Amino acid sequence: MTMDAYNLTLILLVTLVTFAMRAVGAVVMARVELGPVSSAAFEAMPVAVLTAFIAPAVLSQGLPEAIAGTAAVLVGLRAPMAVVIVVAMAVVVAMRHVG
Amino acid sequence: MTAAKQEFLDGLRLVLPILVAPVSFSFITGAISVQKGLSAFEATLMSATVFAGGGQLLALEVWYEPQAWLLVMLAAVSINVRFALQAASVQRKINHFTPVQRWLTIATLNDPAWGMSEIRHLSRQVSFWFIFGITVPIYLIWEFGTLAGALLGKLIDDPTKLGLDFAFVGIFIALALPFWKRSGAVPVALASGSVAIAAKLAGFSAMYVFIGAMAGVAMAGLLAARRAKQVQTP
Repeated sequence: MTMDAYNLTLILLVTLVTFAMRAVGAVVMARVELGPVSSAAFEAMPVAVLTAFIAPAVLSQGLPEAIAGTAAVLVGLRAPMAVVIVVAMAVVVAMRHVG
Repeated sequence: MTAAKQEFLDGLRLVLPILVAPVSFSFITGAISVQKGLSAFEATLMSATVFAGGGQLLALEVWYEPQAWLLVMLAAVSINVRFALQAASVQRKINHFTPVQRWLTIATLNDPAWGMSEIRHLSRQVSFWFIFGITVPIYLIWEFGTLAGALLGKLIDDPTKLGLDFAFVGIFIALALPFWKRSGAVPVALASGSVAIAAKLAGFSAMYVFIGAMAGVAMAGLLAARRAKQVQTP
């Protein structure tokens, strides 16, 4: 059992922040009505964060990553998550091998 | 059969077909966690206390950056802020729970528990045991999957050979697809994606996710403000 003060501190931090998100929603936001602009901004956050992470990882690394990312998106339109992960990994490995 | 047992089985039956997602997601999370320098114990502990895969993976991406504490918090806030919206909605449907049941539900809130409770609420009252029938299997899989992924991930010497470095991109794509399909998501995705790429190329090594995300959120706010204006002045 290995433990490291740095890792444990950051794990605690992520734990507290994540719990705070759930708790703030239940305690505060369940009682407050958001306006149309702020609720649109809140609702857009997951897609904005996910895309900001995905786009550079797929489009600014090289051809294998671009092809594998595109393949994963196309497959994901129909297939479940496990298949998307396997396709992303398999295509990137194959393309790196070719290139 | 008691009512509680029936409710638990109802939740269990609904969640069974989708359990392949947490199985693969937790396994990859464990493998990536040890590749990033966590021990198998730390990886499993993190899954137990955080219980939010996207946030765990995004935080690990910036784990060793300068000012990691700030970037790790930003990562956790930005991807987990959806829990605030989900909890706000669920809270209104579980006022009849005991306080312990309510806080257990909120502390372990997850995407399937939220989504299936919303659907259940359309036809009948949501019970604690129904939500637990959904959350318990996911939580257990999440723990054991992380541990298994961490133990096996230790054996992999070169993660790029297996495409492990790209696995989380696949996970994030799978997580993003339902959002991308929603109406109004395209301009938000275009804004955040293009700004994130520009920020990365400009040298914002770890902040580019946050910068891109803010651009997407700003775009959503602008579009909503314009819609509100159009409604007022037809």
